Amino acid sequence: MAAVVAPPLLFCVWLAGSSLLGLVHRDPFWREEQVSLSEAILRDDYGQAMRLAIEGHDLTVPYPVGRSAPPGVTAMTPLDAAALERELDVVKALLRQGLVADDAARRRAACIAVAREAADVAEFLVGHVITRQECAAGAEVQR
Amino acid sequence: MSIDIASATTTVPDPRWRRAAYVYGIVVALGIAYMVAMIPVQVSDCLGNLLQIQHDTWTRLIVNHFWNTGFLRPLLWAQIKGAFDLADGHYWLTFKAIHAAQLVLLAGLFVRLLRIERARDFAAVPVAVAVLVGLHTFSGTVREAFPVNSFLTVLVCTFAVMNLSLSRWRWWHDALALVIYLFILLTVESGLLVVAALVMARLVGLRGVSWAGVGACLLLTLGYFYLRFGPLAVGAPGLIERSTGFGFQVLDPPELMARFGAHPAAFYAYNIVCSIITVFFAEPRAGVWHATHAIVSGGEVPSWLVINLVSSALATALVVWYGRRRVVAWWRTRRIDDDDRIAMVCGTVLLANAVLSFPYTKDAIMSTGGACFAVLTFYAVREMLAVGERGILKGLGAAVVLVALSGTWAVRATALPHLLREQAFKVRNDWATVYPWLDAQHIELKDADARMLVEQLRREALRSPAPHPNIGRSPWRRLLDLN
Repeated sequence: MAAVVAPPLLFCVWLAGSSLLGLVHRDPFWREEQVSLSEAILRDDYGQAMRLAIEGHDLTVPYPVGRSAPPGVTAMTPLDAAALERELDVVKALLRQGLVADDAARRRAACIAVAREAADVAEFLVGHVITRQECAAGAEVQR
Repeated sequence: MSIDIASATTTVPDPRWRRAAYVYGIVVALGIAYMVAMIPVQVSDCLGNLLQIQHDTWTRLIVNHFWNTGFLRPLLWAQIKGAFDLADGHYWLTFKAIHAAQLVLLAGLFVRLLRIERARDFAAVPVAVAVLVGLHTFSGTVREAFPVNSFLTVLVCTFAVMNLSLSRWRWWHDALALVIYLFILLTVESGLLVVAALVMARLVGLRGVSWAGVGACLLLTLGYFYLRFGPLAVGAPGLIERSTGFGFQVLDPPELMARFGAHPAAFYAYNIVCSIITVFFAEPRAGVWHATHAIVSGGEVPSWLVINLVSSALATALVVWYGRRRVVAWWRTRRIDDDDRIAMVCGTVLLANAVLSFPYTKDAIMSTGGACFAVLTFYAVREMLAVGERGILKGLGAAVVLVALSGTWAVRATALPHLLREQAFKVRNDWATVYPWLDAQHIELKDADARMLVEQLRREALRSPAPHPNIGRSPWRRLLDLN
């Protein structure tokens, strides 16, 4: 009889223990890993990203990014991260949260979106359809 | 005192086992309630409702929803309005408190239905509770709230009237049954399960609600159908209501209309059959035969799916075995006990639940039927425990079956908190992009109150913890059904 009761009883004990620990803010089950704003976006953790935005983190500066970023990239702005993720709604949410993106920042993010085949994101950012050739030409001019 | 026919002994009930069972059930309910409370008030299927009722009057709200097409749910809107007004600005706290209260009430009603009298009864309780919360049909009662979860409300109301029927008749049982039925009938269509439970309970000899009370509920049912298909012209949900599974895929409303528009009966029959089978065999899921497709196509069958199929097959086999034993016992003695009566009511409710699922399949719609299956599993496990006490070989056989059953269902139950944690992450993400969502849904925030409501809920949601479900995944998570 004990062997029959044991497995679901273990489940009950784990559930109760987790809940009790949670009441004193020590629940490992609900512990979040704190990451940078841009890293949160790259991880699809838009909730944490927007919470950081609401808390007053600067939305224009690059933040460290880790394993979620493309190879060789160690920092990105939140706007670039949202473009890389092809998330138009996140781009809109950042702008609504107070991000002031100048033309250069918008164009850069738009080109990231174009490279990721997110034409809707790119068009929203610069107000018109932008092609890879334009992005490449723009990069040449900057060089 | 109960007479154990199988062992020809009499046993004196020990109330301590009943109390222990209540404690166990309520502890599990509170643990799940805690997990539910970690999920923010959701955006989809909820925020729009809250904005709609924010400045609506009770009268206009209820009256307007008597004239919908496809659904007759005026009291669902009354509940939403009631919860909203009661909250008085403390929305998360109130909505989650209501959800927690429903879960605790369900636990109490479920345990009471099992009628725990001795140690062997109690030994079967943890397995039954694991089946209750581990079934895929249960997760829909806790994963979402609109802000009140109507699936859970139906489940609670059905178990409430079953408990009324099981009790000794009191004059107020009839009135209470009628009130519960009226309440749930105008909340959601699945409320019809209550009258199915009442009628079957009375037919098999449970006398807690009199024939007068049952008759009143039947008259109410006739009146409901007359109004629904007559003056109110609400009709039944059609093929255009939502996407639903068929075969190995999900079909959108235009595809459903193209395939079945002329002859929907076959599609409805498919839905009813799938709704029954999903409870017993964990397949199909929302009308889609995932496991079958994986096996037939030679694809990989995930570990969690194997556990689902094995656990459900074991439980179903045990229930069938138990049913056969009880039929044989009845054939010999021509007597049934209250457990048999409850089992028959549970079977009826399960079938009725499937019939009500005819327009489309959704796992959560079968939540009441699934809970009834958990009750049946309890009886089967208890019977197997009794058989196991009668000899070494029988004991070994029973132990192997029951440990396998217990273990697999404990794994399935463990998936529920993980599902809730994933839901918390998803809901918080939804709040991160709520304003673009409102624009896409063409929902206008017409006044300052609406804007304040959205912003308050958004900030509360974004402040809540929600670990990323895919970061730091341990390998054993592949055993859990997180779909």
